[in-house]
Amino acid sequence: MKPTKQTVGERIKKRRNELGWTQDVLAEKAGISKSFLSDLENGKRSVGAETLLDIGRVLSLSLDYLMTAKEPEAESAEVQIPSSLASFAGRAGLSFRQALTLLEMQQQIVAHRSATKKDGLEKVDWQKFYEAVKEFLE
Amino acid sequence: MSRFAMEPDIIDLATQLGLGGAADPVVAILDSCRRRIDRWVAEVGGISSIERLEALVAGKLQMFFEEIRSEADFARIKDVYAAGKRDAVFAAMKMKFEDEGNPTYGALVRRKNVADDAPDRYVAVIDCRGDKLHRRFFTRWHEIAHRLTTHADLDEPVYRSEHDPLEQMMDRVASHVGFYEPLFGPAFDREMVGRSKLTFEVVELIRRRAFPEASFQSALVACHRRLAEPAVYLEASEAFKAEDRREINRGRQWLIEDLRPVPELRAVKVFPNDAAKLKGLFIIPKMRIPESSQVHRIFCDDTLASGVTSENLGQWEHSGGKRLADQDVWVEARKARDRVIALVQAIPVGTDL
Repeated sequence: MKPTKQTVGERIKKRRNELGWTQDVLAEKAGISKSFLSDLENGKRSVGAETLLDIGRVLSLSLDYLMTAKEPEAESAEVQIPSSLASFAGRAGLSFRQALTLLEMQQQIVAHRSATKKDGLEKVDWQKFYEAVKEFLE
Repeated sequence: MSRFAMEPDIIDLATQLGLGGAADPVVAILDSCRRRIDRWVAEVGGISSIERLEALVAGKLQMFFEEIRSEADFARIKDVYAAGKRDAVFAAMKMKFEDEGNPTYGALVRRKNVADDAPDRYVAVIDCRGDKLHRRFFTRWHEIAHRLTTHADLDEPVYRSEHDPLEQMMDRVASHVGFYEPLFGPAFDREMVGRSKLTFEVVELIRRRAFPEASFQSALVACHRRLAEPAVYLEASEAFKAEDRREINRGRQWLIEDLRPVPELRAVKVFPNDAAKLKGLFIIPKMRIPESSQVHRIFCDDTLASGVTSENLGQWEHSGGKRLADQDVWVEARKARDRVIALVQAIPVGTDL
C-alpha cells in the first residue's frame, strides 16, 4: 500500500476532474450542496463517514482510499484470499493450496450476470461451491 | 452528454479501451465495438445473416456457447469440461445458475488447461430455461459484448446486476452490434416503405425475416432506435416511488398502515430515440402511468393482451404536480410477463385522429 500526501478534499477533486465532472454534477449525485463540496475540496470543512461513503460511491472510490490516502500497489505478488474463503477453508480443514485452487476457479468466471447485485468474491457461497467441485480437486 | 455517459464506470471503461477524452464515452465505446466487427466482416468479404455474423464474431473472440435447456445440460457440461477437460469450475454451473432469488442469465468462463489461441478459450454458458429463453439471443450478444470490451481479460470475476452501469453498457453494445446495421438497416427500411409509423406488426415482420432468434422486445428496442421520427420505448410495471424505495431499503417501518407506501404502475424503463431527444418528446423515468392511458388499461385488464390508441401526454402527471408536454401520441402496448411494453410515437400536428 502506498500512501500519498493528498488530503481527502484533494483526492475528491482529483477524481472529479478525471471524470470531467463539475462540482454541480458531483454535488447532485452525492446529495450534498455545491458550497459544502467546494469547502471540502479546499480543506475548509471536514466530512462525516456517511457523506464520505456517498461521495466514494458515486466516484467509485473506496472509503479506505478516501480516508487513509492509501492506494493499492499496481503490482503485488501477494495472493489475497477473501476472508469468507479463509473462514470456510478453516472450518472445512482445507489446505492453503486447496483454498487457492477454489479461488482460481472462481476467477475463471470472468463475467456473471444476475438479477441482483453480488459483492464479488466475499459473497460467494464457498461451502456450496466446494461441494460442487470437490470431486475434481487434486 | 447523458447522465449515463458520465457514470465513472463508463468513463473508466472508455479510458481502458483507449478512448479516454472522447466527447461521449458511450458513443465512443459503441463505435469502437462496431469498428472491430466491421474489420472482421470486411476480411471475409461481407456477411449475409445474423447467425453467420455471430459465428464470425464468436470465432474471433475465441468464444464457444453452451446452452442450458434442461437439467441434463448441467450434467453434460460437467462431463465434457470438468471430467473431460480438467476444468472443475464447470461442475459448479448448476450451483451458479440455481441461486435462489437471484436469477442468473449468463456466465462467461475463461478456460484453463487450454492453448492461448484455442477457439474455445472462453465458454459462455447461457441459461435458456423457462422465462429466460426469450432473452437467449440478447444474452449471447451480451456475453460477446463483454469480450469485445476486453472485460474478460481482467483478473477479478465480474459479479454485477443488470442495473449496474457496466452491465447496462454491455446491453447497449449487445443491441448495437447484435442488430448489426448492415443487416438490420435494409430489413428495417424494406418493411417501413410507405408507412407513417412503426407498429408491433412491422417489428414482428422484421424480426421474423432478419433476426428470427431475437426476442420481440429486443427487436422493438432496435427498431425504435432506428426510427427517424420521435419515439419512446417504455416498460411499465408496479414499482415504488424512488424515495419510498430508499426508505424501505433502509428498513423503515410504518406504524400507521395507511401511510405505508404501495407500489403503483410506473414507467420503469424509458428509452427515447435520437429524434425524441432532439424534439423534446420525453417521459420521466419512474413516473406514474395515468389510469387513462392505454398502458394502464392493458396492465390492469386481464382480457386485454395488447392494443393501440392515440392519447395526449398532457394527461400524464408527475407526483410533483407537473404534467408532460401537450403532445398527441400513438401508444401501442402489450403485456410481457410482469409488465407492459409500449411504443409511444409523436403524432405530427395536423394528422387526422
